[in-house]
Amino acid sequence: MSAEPAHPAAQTPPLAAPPATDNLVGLAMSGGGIRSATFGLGALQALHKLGLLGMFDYLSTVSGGGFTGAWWSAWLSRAERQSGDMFPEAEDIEPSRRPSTLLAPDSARRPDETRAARDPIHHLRLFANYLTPRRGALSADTWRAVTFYVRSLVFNWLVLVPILLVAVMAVQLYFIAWNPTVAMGFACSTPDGDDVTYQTLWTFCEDTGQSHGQVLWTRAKYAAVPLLILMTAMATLSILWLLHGTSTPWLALLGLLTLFGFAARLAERISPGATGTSWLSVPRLSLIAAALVAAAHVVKLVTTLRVNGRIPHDAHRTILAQWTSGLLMVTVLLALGLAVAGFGHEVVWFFFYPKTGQMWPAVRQAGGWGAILVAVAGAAWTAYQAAPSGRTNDSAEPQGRTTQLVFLVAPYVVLGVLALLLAYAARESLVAVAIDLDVARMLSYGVIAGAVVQLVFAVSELRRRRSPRVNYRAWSLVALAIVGSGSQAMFLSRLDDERVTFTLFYVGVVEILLAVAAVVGLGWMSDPNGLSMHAFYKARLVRAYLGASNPDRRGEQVTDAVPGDDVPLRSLCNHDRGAPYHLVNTTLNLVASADLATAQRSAASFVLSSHYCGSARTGYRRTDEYMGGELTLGTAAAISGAAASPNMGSRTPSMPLVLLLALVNARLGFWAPTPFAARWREPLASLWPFYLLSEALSQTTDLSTYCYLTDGGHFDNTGLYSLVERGCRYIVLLDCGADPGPCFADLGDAIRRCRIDFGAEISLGVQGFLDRAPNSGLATRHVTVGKILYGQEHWDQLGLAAQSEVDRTGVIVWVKPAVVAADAADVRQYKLENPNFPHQTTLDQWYDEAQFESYRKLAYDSITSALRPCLQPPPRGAAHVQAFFASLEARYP
Amino acid sequence: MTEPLPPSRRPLELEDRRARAAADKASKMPVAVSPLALERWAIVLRRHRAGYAGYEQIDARALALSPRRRQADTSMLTSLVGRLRAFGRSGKGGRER
Repeated sequence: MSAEPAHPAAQTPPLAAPPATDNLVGLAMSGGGIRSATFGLGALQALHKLGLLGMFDYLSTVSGGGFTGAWWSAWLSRAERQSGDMFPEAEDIEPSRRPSTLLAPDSARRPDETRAARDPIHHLRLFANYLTPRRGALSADTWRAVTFYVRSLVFNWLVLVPILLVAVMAVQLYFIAWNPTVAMGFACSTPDGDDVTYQTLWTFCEDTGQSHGQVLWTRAKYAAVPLLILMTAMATLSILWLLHGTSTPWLALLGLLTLFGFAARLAERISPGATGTSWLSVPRLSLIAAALVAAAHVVKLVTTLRVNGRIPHDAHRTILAQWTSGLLMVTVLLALGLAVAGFGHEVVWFFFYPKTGQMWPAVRQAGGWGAILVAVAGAAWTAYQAAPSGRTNDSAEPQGRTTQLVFLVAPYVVLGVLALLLAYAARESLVAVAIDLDVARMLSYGVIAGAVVQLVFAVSELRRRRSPRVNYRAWSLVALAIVGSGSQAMFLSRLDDERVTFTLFYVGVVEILLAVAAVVGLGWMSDPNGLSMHAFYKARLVRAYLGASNPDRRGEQVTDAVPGDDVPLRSLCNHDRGAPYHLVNTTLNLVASADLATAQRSAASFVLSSHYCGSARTGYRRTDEYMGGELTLGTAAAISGAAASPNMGSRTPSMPLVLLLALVNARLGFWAPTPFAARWREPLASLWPFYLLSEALSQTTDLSTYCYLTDGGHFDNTGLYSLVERGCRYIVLLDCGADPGPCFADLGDAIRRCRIDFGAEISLGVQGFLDRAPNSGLATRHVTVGKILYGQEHWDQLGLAAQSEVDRTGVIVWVKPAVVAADAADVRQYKLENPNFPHQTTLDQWYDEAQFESYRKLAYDSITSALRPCLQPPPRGAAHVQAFFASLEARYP
Repeated sequence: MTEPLPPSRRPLELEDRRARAAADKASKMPVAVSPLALERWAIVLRRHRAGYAGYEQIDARALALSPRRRQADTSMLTSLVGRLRAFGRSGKGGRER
């Protein structure tokens, strides 16, 4: 690998940090989808009205809070903003809604008076239903969403189905490649010899002279062979493991070997040549496996250093236990594969090819269709539940019994039905091609053409990149192309061979190679983020939230995406306007990480901001160079809100559900270059099927070239973690996760992690939000104030001075959506009509006018009523901030 | 009385960092400016702009972080041209990008 060019920043002297300030003020806007975004809007309006927005140094946003945060940051960064512009002024409605229109004669009304207003706040109100603002079955918005989902799903399946077929066919090759009897039985056997399949195959196969039951029994014995061999190897390992503990190992070994030899001889005498040939009998293969395992152990024994002249028995027992568990995993997976690939089509036959004219076959057929319908319905329900900003983001939000049941059962049903259908399709395609040699020849030519295309891809890849991992991938393609084209040349020269096993085997190889070529070819046509739902989600967020401040949007239809809506992340200039530095919190998925340090969380914080991006796990890069400087605010906000993904950090579901989520393309996450990896400047990854499989198999780590980022709520849904990490002494937390209980799950997670990671002790009284008014049953407060005691070590690492605990103690203002008796009449009315307000399900992302205004007004009044009494006179500065928070602390103990 | 060190004289670790160590060795991370330094300079500038007492006069290094005015351009054409140029550069120079 050639040396990476010197980074420009590395050639300049390091920029020292300015003198540390210990009175940092942070505003955290939590996740919670459109509910959190709308509540956050009302809160920002109130803070602006009170003149407090200029007080915050940091804005830390997660998921839905990031929608509004991104909207504000984009507004601040537009070229037409002037110095001193901090926040949009009062909302401006359409001219036609103003009373002045009553005074004008009807003929004098201009057309532009009836169009949408040009106000960024009003834009958000119009986009309360941001996913599909124009409703109805005939709405172009709805149909665009359907089109995008179906198109992405089809492309994903075009890759996933060949990959799964290859896996099944590779195992089926075992049944058709070596033993003619088993091969004939696999290709030509039928349930009862009286259906169409049998008639077609009869011209191809010779009569095997066996009943269907005998064929099945022969195949089952054949399938058991590799499993028996593996089990023998495991038994040998177990014996060796046992020997490491005994006081007379060599005597015991001699006895066991004698016993094992006798058993092998006996097995051979009883059942000679189970595989059809005398040498490759099961006992002999088992003996070979046992000998190999024993030899490997002897090598390990000899090469391992002795401790004080003695063999480290405990260490060797651990190694043997590891080998055994590895073999056990292989055995279980192989058993599943052999069962599905060898007998899957028999199950399908059982359901769908019964004899006609009897009741029992009709019941079987109904059962088969029922299983398929349940699988499709289960997959559809899962996709619906995992729709953009689905409820998976809110740990505290209870799931209905139906959802719980579907999430529990659907993955197994769907994967089971899919596996059986794939086995049936693979076997049918093998036989169908094998009986028509012209088709087989054409497929071979197709493989050779595919090999040429792969060579071109590989050479292109080798020419562009020099990292070892990419070289390895490209050279693998070259090898695959050579093997593929060579095997097909040999196949074509011997195609007239009359042996059925030969023809079936090479047809299998042809189809596998074609599927691989198709996957590779399709894989290079897009990047992993292009065919997930991320692109759709981002587009809808961008037009709704970032488009609100786009000056070029004026002449366009309000719901169309317009160039210039999105803003490069590097060009954010909040701090240049006097506004807080925006931290967009996302989650770095570490589900497959080998580190014990992340085994429980499976996630780490990953921050995207205007100056740098990265994580403590991966290092950081300057935003103007990371991903070639192409990372946009819209992408960052969409990643931060990617609630539904197969991998969800700490909340990653079970393996079958992960696979199902990948199958239904419920994928909102984003593959970004890992900051310390060689390709950190390249925004797009090649060969997206590799990343699709990584998601489906939960293979996400921080050591790969590209890392998988999802919703910040999968690590911390409050935004508090990043602010405590930076040592903010004063924090205002808008905690808007759905919490109808309430049980404060998001806050609990954040407090625990801040304590574990930073030694920061956050003291907050939760009783204030649990208390209910005696008569109305409403909440009694909007705000609770507590303390943060930072750890001395953390404080020192940040370079902050502290003589005593008082110097390390901060204030946290916890704002939670709650309706109190004194709230506005329309908010109280909405609460009476919707008892779950203000904690309605996050699954509802389609707000109407009443819902939007209720959340906005509730936030506005909550902040105003709570903070107004504590306002301090100017000038603005450290003393002003300190006095303000001291006043809050005194008022809300 | 001090605890005796294990025979290898290495501290105990709770994680296997061999893979990470290999990746760290391969990477060349620019460390000229720390993220925290960047943030703090941005906050100095923010407080200056917001009219904070004590931040009327600020270091020129904070002002240097003020973003250059350039029009956001995320068009496909620009992106395509950029990729073609990058492809040509890597082919000629043979350097890692």
